[in-house]
Amino acid sequence: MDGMSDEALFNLYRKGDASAFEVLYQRYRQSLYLFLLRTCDSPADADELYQDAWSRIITATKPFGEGSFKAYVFRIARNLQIDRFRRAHLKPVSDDEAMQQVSDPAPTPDVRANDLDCTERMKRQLASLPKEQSEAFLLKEEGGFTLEQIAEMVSVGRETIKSRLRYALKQLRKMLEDCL
Amino acid sequence: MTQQDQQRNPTDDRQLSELYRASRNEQPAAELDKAILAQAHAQARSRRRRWMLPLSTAAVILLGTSLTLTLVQPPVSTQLPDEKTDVMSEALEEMTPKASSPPAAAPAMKRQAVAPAGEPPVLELQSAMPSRAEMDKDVLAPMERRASEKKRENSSFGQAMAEKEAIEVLRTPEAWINDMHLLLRDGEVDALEQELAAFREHYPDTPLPPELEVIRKRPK
Repeated sequence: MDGMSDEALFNLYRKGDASAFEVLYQRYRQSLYLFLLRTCDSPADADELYQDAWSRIITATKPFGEGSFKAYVFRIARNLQIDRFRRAHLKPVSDDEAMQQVSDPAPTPDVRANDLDCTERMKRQLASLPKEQSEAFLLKEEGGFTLEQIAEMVSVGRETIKSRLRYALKQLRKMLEDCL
Repeated sequence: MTQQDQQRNPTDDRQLSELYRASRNEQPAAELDKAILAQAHAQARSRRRRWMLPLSTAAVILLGTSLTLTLVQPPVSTQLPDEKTDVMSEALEEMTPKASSPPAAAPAMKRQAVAPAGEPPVLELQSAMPSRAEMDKDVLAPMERRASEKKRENSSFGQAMAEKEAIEVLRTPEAWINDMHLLLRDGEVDALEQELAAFREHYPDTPLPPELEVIRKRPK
């Protein structure tokens, strides 16, 4: 069963094979969790959204249609996150605001502290990025999606995603130069 | 990827990717895993039940239909004692007057005539039929016993006379005269005299052939 595609496993699960779900769960357990953890404001929120996302997948009554199961899973998680933002009256940062933040970064002293582990600094720098940029970076790193796939998932143009990624990488490289 | 590489391909930075991968050390809590998998198993059970309901319904309908068909169709039994006895009696009747006919073939042939064409029980019946020796033992012997008993019962004097009278009444004068000629030829004089007396009693006006008339008139 380990060699089966995500889609075949999901169809098996929809017919009542719980072991197919376990394989799928193991495949996306950590990447989905980390995507939510890095994009949410708190680990508690990430836990809640993580469980909600899997619950949506478990109780899905219809096939996920076109596209891959992986895109389906990350799209569910992202939609849940957007809903949470809306409920909390938190407006996601616009691209213009994001660009301004990137062009005028305000690194905190502790991020630059040499006594911090590079991996820990990476997490902090990622969290300090505008949400659209960190999201694009995480979808690429955790989901392994291409620019086109991310653009389709986020419903923006490919060039927009390319810009977000470019600024994110530039900022991270700048802040973590001594770790690279 | 160096900084120059990153400038050529600004959305791909291998060094940053490696550093990010090194930072991936968080895991979802075990309680979360447990809760999610429990929900998934419960949902899977529910989905299996959803498949099972139409499946079991179809199975029940199929079973019911086949049972109904079995009950409606007449049973084809090979071991009904009455039927077997009837068939054996019929076979015996056929066998008894024709002693030269092959006895073993008769029951099967008779059964083939009784059973509908193409039905398999013919072979089973052949195997169920007794052999000739068994028939002699089980059927023929009791019948012979019954026949001899009947003969003994009929041997009383009155019945014998009645039978004789009945035979004589039915016998024509010509047939009677023929019988008496046979007795004369065999030298059964006493029997011939009795027959002549009886003949004359029944047919007083019928003339007898001279050779019989001589015997009748002969002083006893």
